[in-house]
Amino acid sequence: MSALLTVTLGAVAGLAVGAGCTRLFWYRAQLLERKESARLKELLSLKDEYVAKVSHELRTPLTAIKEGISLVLDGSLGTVNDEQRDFLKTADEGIERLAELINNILDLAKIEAGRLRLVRKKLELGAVVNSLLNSYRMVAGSRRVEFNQVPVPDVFADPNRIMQVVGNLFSNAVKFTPPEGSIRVSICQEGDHVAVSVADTGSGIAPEDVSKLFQKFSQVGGGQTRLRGTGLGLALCKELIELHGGLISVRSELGRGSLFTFKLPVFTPKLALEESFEELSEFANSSGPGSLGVLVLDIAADVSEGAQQSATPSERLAETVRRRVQQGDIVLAVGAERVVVLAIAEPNGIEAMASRLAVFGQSASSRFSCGWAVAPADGTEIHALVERARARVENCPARTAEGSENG
Amino acid sequence: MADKPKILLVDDEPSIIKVVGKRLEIAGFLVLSATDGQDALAKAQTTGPDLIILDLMLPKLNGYEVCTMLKGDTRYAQIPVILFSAKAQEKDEKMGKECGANAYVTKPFKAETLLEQIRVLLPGRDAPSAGEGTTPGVS
Repeated sequence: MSALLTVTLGAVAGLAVGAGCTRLFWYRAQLLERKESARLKELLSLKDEYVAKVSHELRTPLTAIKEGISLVLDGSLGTVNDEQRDFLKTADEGIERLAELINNILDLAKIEAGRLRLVRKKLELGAVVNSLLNSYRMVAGSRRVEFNQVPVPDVFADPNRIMQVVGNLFSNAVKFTPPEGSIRVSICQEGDHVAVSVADTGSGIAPEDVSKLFQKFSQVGGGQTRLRGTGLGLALCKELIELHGGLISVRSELGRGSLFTFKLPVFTPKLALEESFEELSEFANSSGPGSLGVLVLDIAADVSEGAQQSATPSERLAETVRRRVQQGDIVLAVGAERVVVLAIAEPNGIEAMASRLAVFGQSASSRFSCGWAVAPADGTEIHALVERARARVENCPARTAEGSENG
Repeated sequence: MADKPKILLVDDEPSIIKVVGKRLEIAGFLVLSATDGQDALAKAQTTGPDLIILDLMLPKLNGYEVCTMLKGDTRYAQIPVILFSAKAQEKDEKMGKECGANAYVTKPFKAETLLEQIRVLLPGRDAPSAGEGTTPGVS
């Protein structure tokens, strides 16, 4: 099942990178109509429910333990002596680790179900690394910590997720480096990626273990040094970086230390634009027909591509749009050229279509009652744009005119 | 001896009632509790709480249902509701807003976060100082 998912998502993602995003959405529209897709969605939602349930079951007792300890520890229930405080703090640290483990498991499960949503934006990676590093200097104690920073372009990444990755690499480096050792962090540009490296002078990893490093529950080191850790941190780092379209790797020598490097794509407006289409598409897919269905179509691109194809995709698009509109969906057209929108709308009468057709793109026509025109020129404000689009669609009068037929 | 603000704490987990209830008492509130949705609804209607802390996954009626019923009834709609759940998903927060809840706190939580939310929702009904135990760091 997950193989099918991978193939499907892979195919869709592959199309997204090509010329224009039309095919992506077209393909998705087709996919959604297939039976296996329905089955896939069902399984994904089952998995999602399971994850939510596990989350609830684990966090509830954890809350009771943490809050119970905290009530005693902060003196709310009476004076606590130093030794009691020390033991309670140890217990509290254990709870923190447990909470982190649960979060890691949940994140990994979400990634596997394809439900972890990155909120990517233009990000100054050096600043993120620097601020995290400052908070880790205290934890590092006597270990020497250096940051070799050179100017690099911004990347396109989810700040919270990247902090998770960087934090994980730092805490590993501290954990495995002796107090007299050192940790060197550097950042540099490598082609269309920015690379961050974390080098430590710690225990290192044996060559036979290196390949296992990014697998789940595979903490290496065997008998000699059983160091604390969940064994999930690096697996999660790998998933998160790859989700960003990046890479993570390690070079290590037993007894001398390790060098972890991850690379993230440099920000480009095109990347941001593609993501916004992805978001809109997800939004569209998450609402069923008849509720607030939104079909996302990049009509403009479809026309230019359609010219080279023997079939007439715009006709098929028109049919899809018509059908969805008749079902009571709102159709959101991205980057729509007016002429094509008109061509689609005409058979049903443009006024009838207007109430359910939201146009989002450079040349959107003001003739549509729910339409609006925004020019995503440089892609930097994509998220704001998507949010606005979403709000507009949700507030669209057509939605309140429940079940009304169009002409 | 001004009467303390009354909080109805709803959770099906007795250990949560115990620790969170204690935290609220120390902060100067009078705490009532319920362990299922029906009980919560009945107590909300009969005891007149100033605020309700409502877990989502409850037997009989879930938190969303209880919240929707209260918010749909003009007699109880003005009682602030804090949804309190271990479900940390975007859609939960969205559903929370849709059922009319005033705030959403995720477990495991920091005591200050919950108390801060209560203060925001009960302006002017600030918890009276409970005397000893409320100033952390004194020992």
